[in-house]
Amino acid sequence: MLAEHLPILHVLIPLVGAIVLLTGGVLRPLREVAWGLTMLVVLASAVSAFQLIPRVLSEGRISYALGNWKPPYGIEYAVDSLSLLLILLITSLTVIITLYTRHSIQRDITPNQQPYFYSAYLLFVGGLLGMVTTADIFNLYVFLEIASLSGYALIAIGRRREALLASYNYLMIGTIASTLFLLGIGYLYMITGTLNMQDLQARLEELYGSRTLLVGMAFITLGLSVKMALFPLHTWLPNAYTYAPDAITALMASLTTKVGVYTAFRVFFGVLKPSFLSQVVPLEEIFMLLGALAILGGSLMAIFQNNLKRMLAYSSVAQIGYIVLGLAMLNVSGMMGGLIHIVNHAVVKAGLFLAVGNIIYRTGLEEVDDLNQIAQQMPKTMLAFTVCALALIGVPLTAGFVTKWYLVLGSIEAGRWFLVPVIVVGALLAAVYLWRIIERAYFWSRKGGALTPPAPLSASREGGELGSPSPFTERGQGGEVNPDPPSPTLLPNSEQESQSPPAPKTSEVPLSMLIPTLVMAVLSLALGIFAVLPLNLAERIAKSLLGAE
Amino acid sequence: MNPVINASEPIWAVGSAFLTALLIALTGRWQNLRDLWSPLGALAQFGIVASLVPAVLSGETRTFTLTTPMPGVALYFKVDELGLFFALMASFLWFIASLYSVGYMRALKEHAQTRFFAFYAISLGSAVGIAFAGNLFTLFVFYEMLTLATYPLVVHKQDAEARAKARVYMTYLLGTSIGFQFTAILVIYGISGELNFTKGGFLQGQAPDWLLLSAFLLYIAGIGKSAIMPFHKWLPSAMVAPAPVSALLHAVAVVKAGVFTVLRVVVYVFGVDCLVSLQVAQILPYVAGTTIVVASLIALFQDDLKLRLAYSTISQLSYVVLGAGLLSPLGAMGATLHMVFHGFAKITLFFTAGHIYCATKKTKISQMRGIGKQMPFTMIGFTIGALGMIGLPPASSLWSKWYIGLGALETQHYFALGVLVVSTILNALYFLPIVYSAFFEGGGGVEALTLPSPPSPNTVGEGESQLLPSPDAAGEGSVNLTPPAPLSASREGGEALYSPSPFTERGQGGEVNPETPSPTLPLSAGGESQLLPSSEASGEGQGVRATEKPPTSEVIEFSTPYLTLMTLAICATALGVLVLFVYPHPFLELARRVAGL
Repeated sequence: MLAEHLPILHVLIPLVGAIVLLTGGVLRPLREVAWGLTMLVVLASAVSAFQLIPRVLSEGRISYALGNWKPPYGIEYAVDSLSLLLILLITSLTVIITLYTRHSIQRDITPNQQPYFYSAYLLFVGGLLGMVTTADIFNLYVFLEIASLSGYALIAIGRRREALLASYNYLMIGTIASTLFLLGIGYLYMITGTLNMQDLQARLEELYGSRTLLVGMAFITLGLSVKMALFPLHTWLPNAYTYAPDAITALMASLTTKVGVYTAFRVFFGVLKPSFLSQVVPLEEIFMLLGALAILGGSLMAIFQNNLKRMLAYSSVAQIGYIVLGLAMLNVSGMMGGLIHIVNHAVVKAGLFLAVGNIIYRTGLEEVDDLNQIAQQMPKTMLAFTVCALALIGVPLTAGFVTKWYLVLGSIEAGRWFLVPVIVVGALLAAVYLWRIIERAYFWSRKGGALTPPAPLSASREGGELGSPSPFTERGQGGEVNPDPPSPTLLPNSEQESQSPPAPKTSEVPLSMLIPTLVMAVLSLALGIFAVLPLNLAERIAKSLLGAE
Repeated sequence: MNPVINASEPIWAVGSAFLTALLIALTGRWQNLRDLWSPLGALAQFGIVASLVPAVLSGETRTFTLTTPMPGVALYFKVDELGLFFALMASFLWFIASLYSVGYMRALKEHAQTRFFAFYAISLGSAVGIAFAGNLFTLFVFYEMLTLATYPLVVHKQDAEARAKARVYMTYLLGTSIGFQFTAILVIYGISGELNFTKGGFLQGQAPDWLLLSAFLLYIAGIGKSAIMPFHKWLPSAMVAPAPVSALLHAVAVVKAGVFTVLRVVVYVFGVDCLVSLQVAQILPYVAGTTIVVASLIALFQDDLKLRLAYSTISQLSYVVLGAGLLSPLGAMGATLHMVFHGFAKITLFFTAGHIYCATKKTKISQMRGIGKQMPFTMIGFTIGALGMIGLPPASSLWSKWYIGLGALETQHYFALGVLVVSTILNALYFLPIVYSAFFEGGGGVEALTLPSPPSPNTVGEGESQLLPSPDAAGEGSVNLTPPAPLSASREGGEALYSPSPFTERGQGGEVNPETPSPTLPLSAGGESQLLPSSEASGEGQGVRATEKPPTSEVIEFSTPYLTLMTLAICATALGVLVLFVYPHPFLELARRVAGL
């Protein structure tokens, strides 16, 4: 009996869980088990989501009529391969990040507030899952608002006061965007009288010249661009990501914008047809240009950030550019690159944010400049960070490489040669802003150590950062005269111990935080080495979206 | 048709090195056990590679697909003549270098030795991976892995200079490989849908000429490891690494991986016929020839031994590119041979440089007068290596240069021929003076007679600077900002007179200056046989005394077990150069097959 409701279970479970937590929050016993309950809920949601895999792969699109009202009259839920990709991504990442919240969130809220926090958390997840499952465009808007509103609340929880401002800022921009989206839906409804997306697609094709459609699509495109933080409209994102609680940043960075991108895919290829982008309005070119600008602009901004989370936030802006590029190329390879990057970036960026969360949790350090020798203190965290960083740069056999491979192939096939250097330069810029952290974490001497004078060092450090071999060498600190540069801890080493000053013992975060971080690192590699599976799904999606069976 | 056999040897050849790295990391606590793994791993790797020789000579091809990360894009290995050539050299020299590096690291009491040896092993695994890569993707995977694995080795010293240079290193190597090579691979894949290496290439006629030519040029520019100008700057920067790294990686594994990739692309991707029709012979030899001559000219002006060797490497690497770029079978054969023969000679030279540094802390050529009396075996090894650079008997490089020259004659490429002649003269100019002054200059009375006056400013300058790295300076970095000035002033004034290079150090400009402040300089004032002077040991008085005392001619290269080990390693590689001169036949045979003769 349950099996026939499968396409909606994974959405309902978190929503019901949210209500239970909210209403039961007054009860003391529930406060103690809020995390456990949340974990159960997201696990259940994931289990039901994974049962969709064989059905979707064998049957294709599974449709579910809510309340038995037949589509297109009732609200339809449908899981096709594109939805499946997102559903799997959201449910599995949520499970991993929920594990992470257990200890991580304790620094931001009191135990009394936990049920309410997890209630908002589950609403957020349920909203995202609803967006990617529904086949009704107005219903999609409803879930968009559920996810957004709970998202504003989650950001506001951040322990710094700036979090409130960031949340307010996001609330304002986000609401305008949602409203624009809703307006656009209104226009579409006006000319077609339907809200079911399949139905819309069938009816809209003959109306492509209609001015109403153009205006409606303009509103929708603008609203979605804000929601997915497409380059010039990304301004809400850096602050929101910087000040939100660490676990929430990881969750949002990997999922919110992705679901925005999903909606774009859905609207442009599920409500409209690819020909609209290429023939009616030059959206194809506009998106390519914006995507390219996002890659370059976001990466450049990231280079100049000193706050870790803000740097990664700008990097997210850049990475959205890759996905949009893939969308705009309108060929199978490019779209596969974009689709696979939805997954790859979610995993890799979550891993990076979790690793940064670990560092902040253990040391309170948020600035790049403070990270000297952090690898000695937190070797496992930094190992995960390094792997994820390499994956973001796109070193072969990591997730990022697969993305870039298909995007470059796509731009060559589309004859858009100018995109090739953009994609490649984006990777190099990523190397610039991530490598400086790896270099510091492993190869800089600790600050303020007994043997490392801070004042002259900082002078030479600045010289070094410009890339010029500075004339002031740190001889006082060097490895030759003074046989004790704090030994890097990539690997244990014994010959140092007699000479070096007592190095700080490794102090890693609790396992509930470390395991999710390491899982993300492993996934970043796995998605590069065993990319065939997700790529097959992506190819299926790309072919069905482009109508090129 | 030659049989193709699916066999896992290539995986084991690569895997043995990675396994070695793992064992090193796990047993880092027990030094002796840990240092056993590198030679054992190298032997295992060499054994596996060598066991493939008969099969390849009999015309078999061994292939293996490890996994398929993306549809149609596999991690695919294939053993052929060219790959075997490179793998044989890399794994054999790894064995010698692993012994040498144990001696070097222990003699200098270097820090982070576990990390060093582990990444050393990973680098060698990557190099052999490049050798046995069966398609462009696999080659790129190991190419990038090699770049990343050598980074911790280059930055090993972990001071500001090392970090800045390691950054240059990464910028050039990653910049070119991601920027150009990656794009070129995808252009090739986009054109042909094919990635697997095929003898004679697979691109002929697949696309318009302009597209093929730009793909080829992109690819060549993307191989930063071959150090073709203007992408050569990383190699001198990499000299900040410890000598064993410079020796095996930046004279053999990394740079040879670069020229190996060039050969692969020329012979197995584009194919000679295709490149002839693209008129590449009108481009590539000129670029390579310019690199050869310009790098040699720069080398003339280097006083730092390792830097001079580095520029010499840049120049010698372009011989391989030149040979390949001639697009004649004989040229390709010479290029293939030079890849190996230069490797043996250059590793000997770098071993020597590291050995001299270990034993005496000397890094400058101008300090090495009379060093041949203290370290005769080492300097004989150096001499053989130097002959290898010049290409004179009894060094094996004679053969490779011979075939490159024949290739130039065959294609009537007189520019290439001229480059060969000029660079031979230049090579002689910057290597023979070192040999001459090591054996016939300096030492006790001779120096005192010829140069009565200079020692006094020297004494003052160096005596002063010697105060600085003493233990108290360790605490206050600020004091250290001063020494380079008086020191280098006195050095330029005093030593330029009897510098073995006819050019003063002033010409070096920015090249060497970053090196000068290296803390080793003041310690090396005396050239006493005092081993491993630590910072505490060289007190003020002792230092001043040391400069007054003329260098002793006592033989010091066997004075400790570690130094003996290093001397033996030098002798082994030097012997290798000689053996390859006398008996190059197996290599000639393999190279002939690569070139399709």
